[in-house]
Amino acid sequence: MRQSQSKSHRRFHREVGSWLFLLPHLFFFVLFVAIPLVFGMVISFFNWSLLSDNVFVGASNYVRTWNDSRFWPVVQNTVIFAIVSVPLTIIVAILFAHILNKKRFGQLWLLIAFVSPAFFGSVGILSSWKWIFASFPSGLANYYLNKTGFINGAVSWFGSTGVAWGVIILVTIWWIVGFSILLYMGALQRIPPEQYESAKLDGAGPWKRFLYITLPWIRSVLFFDVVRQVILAFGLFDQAYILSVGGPAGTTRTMVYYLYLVGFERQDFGRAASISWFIFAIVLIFAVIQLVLVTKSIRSTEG
Amino acid sequence: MKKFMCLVLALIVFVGFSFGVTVTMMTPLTGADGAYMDEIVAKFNATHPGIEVVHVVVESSLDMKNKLSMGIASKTAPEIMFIRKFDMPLYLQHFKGFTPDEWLNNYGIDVNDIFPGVLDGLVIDGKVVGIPLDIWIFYMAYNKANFAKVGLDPENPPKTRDEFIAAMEALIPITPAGLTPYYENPAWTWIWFHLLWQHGGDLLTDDFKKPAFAKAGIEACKLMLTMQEKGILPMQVADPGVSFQSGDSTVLITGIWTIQPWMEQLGEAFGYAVSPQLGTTKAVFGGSHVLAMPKVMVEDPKVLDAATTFMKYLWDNAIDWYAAGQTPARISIAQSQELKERLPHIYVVSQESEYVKQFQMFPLISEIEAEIAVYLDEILVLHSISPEEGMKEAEFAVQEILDDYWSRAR
Repeated sequence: MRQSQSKSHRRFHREVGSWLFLLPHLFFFVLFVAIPLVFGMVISFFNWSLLSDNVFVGASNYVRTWNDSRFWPVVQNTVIFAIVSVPLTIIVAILFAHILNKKRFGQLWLLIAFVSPAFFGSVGILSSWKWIFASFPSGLANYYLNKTGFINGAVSWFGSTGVAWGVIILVTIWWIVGFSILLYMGALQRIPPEQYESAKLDGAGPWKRFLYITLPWIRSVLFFDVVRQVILAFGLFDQAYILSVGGPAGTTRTMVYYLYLVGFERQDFGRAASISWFIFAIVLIFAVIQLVLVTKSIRSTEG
Repeated sequence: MKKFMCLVLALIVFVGFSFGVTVTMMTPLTGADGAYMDEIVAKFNATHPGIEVVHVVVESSLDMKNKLSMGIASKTAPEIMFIRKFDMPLYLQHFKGFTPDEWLNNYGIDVNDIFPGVLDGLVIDGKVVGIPLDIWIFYMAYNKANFAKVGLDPENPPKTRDEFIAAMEALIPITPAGLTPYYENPAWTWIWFHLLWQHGGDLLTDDFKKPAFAKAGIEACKLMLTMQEKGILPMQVADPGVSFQSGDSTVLITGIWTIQPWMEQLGEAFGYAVSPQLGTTKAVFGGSHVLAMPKVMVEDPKVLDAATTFMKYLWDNAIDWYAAGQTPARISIAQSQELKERLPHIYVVSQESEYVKQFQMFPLISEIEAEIAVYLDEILVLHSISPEEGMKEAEFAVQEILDDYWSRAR
């Protein structure tokens, strides 16, 4: 009896200890994630304004968003951006991780060059890119591309949909790829070199070695990175806001850009909250699809 | 002990009185004009020992609106807003209103001296909720040296549509490839609004229930397309400042706030004139900075008095402010000899003030403008739809915004 009492006492102490270790994170999670989430859900059922009384409107904000002819085009824009930019970023990250994984002169500096943009704030970085892609002839890109004969005359980089998206994707990859490179480098360094050596002896080429050795070894990092990239892609805002201002003709407006317009320009917080839940649902769907696809493809290479 | 308590109390009272009243003024003056306002505030503080004005600058309209909303809700807003007029409609019920008599009698601010078009929309239930201090009007900036190069009279810039088109065509041969004589961003909505008003149109019906811009909007777009086809206006998005500054392009129809920097940078080559009339109606685009006080922040009579005293100081010393590149909102100053002598360039441009058109005072005007911009891009930048189709679609989109607004209006 006494033995079982002391056992449960020990278990209790152990559990309390675990909870105490969790507490700092839990506190901030509740404060900055859980409470805002619940509050956001509550707001979405109200006609919520800072300047007048808040009125309960049921699901009407969700109905308005569903029927809003301006919402679905921005969803389409964002989905297309995600479909193009996520695989591109991952491919570029794995490629550069491979290159940087081999010992070479100046490797550290290259790594710093790739990774450092990820640690800079958006406004500074994007203002510099805006200057590079200025539409006047003396804009940096225009000037040098003209000088080297790649273009003739000044290009209006945000004057057509395709080019504007091209610039946004380019800048996005440059900006965020560094962290992914670090992740993949860490994963690559855990692969035992003997596996590559024996595969080489068996006559496996670089592609097969990548497919049957590298990919399975980095899969857990890949899972994490895919989900991270999907969330980042669906949260695209700064690039569209600062570089293209949503143009031309609203074709680079994204879901978060629209959320921002409704929430802060119109100050219709109830509807903005409903839009954020739509975004959550869409991100969730795409994250699950991507995870299933990645899992399947890796399992097939393993099998 | 009693003596000590009395001493402490006296000290508190003394300190309280010696600091007087502090009022905060929030402005959107992030550019060089902010320094002009700082100077005015410093002069006021030096001459009014009982009042301290603190000048707070915020970056954008959106930032200002969000801070103001939050401030009104939490009673922490600035006591004075120096706000763009088109940002005000959301707050008209939240600003302190005064009858003209109150202003006139108590503080010597005569609202009858303000250009009527500028005061439009600022009188709610017979009470004035804001005092426009200036007008940022459109004017024509041009390069006199380029005019002279092609045989145009630098002292006699174009005034009508035909004169303008002819002058621009004459300037094409000296304009570098890739640029146009009038090198302005065709996607800048304010140019379209300027031309919309010059074609006799307006954005919404008077009751704000329906869009009303299609007919004049089509004409404005057609004029811009014509200028693009003739090589006068760029076909694509453009950043105009650099080319004008370097003398590669010749003309800009733009806001008065640019006049001071251009004068300094271009020197004698810089010319200025009132905007040419390119449409059928005499009208010119303009906005205003308005002085207004959030009601919840001036409930204390002492604070109200301090805030109004500063507003009166600005009213009296507005000419110092116009040096920053603004035209007067007051008729008496616009016509004064003092303005003519001190700021002749401002005087010249301000002669068009009576024709100023401003945005209608509807709370979602910025959202409507942003929505119209989408279709202007399609017409003037992507060239994917005709003006008729574009304006029809724009009206449809604007109607959707209006319907949504009125379905929830309380």
